[in-house]
Amino acid sequence: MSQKDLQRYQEDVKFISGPCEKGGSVEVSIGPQVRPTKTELLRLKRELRLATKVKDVLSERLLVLTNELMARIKEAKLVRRKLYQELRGACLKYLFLRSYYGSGLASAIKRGVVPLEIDEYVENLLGVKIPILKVGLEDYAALERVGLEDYAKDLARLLDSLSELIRAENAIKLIMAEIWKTRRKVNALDYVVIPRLKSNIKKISMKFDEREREEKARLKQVKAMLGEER
Amino acid sequence: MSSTLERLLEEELRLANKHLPYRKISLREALSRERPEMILRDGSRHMLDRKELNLLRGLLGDDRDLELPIIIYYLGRGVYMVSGRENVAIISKILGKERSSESDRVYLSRPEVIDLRMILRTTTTIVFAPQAVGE
Repeated sequence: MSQKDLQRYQEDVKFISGPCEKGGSVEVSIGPQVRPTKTELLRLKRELRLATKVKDVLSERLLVLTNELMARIKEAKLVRRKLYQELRGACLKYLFLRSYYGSGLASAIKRGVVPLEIDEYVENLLGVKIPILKVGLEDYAALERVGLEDYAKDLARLLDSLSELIRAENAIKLIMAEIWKTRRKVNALDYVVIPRLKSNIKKISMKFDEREREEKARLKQVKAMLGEER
Repeated sequence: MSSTLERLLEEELRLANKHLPYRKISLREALSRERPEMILRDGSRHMLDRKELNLLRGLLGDDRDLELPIIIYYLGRGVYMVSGRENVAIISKILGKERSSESDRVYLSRPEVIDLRMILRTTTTIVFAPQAVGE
């Protein structure tokens, strides 16, 4: 423990153990000083009510986000299964066509004879912004002309499923991140903010009670002294 | 004068429903647009999935219309509610729920909402009602 820390610790101990002067402040174990006044007590009570309400709302949001995550996981599973089925069919067709047409088919696709269409937009799922990149075949007339209409349709379906899977899995990641963030907020409210507010309220109330007792004792003493004089 | 903590907490409450749209759009209008988008309260744009729009059109028929997005109210304790006759008809059809012809609201459980959100991802949205949650 450094000299500075020791000094601070001694000051804290002195503050907590020492008597609190009238109009002074009450020290809590953690957090800032609070003045033992009626206004402060009302403010703290209002903050406690608000914090409890926010905690409830965030907890409910956490539940709804978890629901959303479950829905997206279920969806991603289904889309992945569909994609594998389509991929198997398209691969078999491609191998057959390649054996028939040779490598010309692949090079034609690579050269951009079949142009791709890319659409970019955002979906907002419960406040979580999910960027989406949708890839599809813009025009497959070139494939149709050489009698590959079925293959072109398979490719279009495959790209559509692939885009769906990317969207669903991206959504899972982003919703997970939002869940973590919300959980941290709920925990901060639950374990730090609300207990601290409760503790401050309790300390101020205790201080008020103490003042009341002091006042009563003083009055009794005055009464006794007046009685003696008579 | 409100403290920093109070301001932060109030901001959290305000942000709970930032994903709601400024203005609802009809299904007919959404289908007629090239890009069926809407502007949300946080200023971002939200795209409606055309597949979902077509599904809704198929379920609803050509003569009836619907306001989008369909709002699912979260009432707390795992209970959700959808109101409006057209909305109730659509939700009941999708989930295969029986309903009386006069009912204009339907209560949903958590698994039903998961199923519903799987099918209608972009055309439904969930609203948090703090007054209901806090009770």
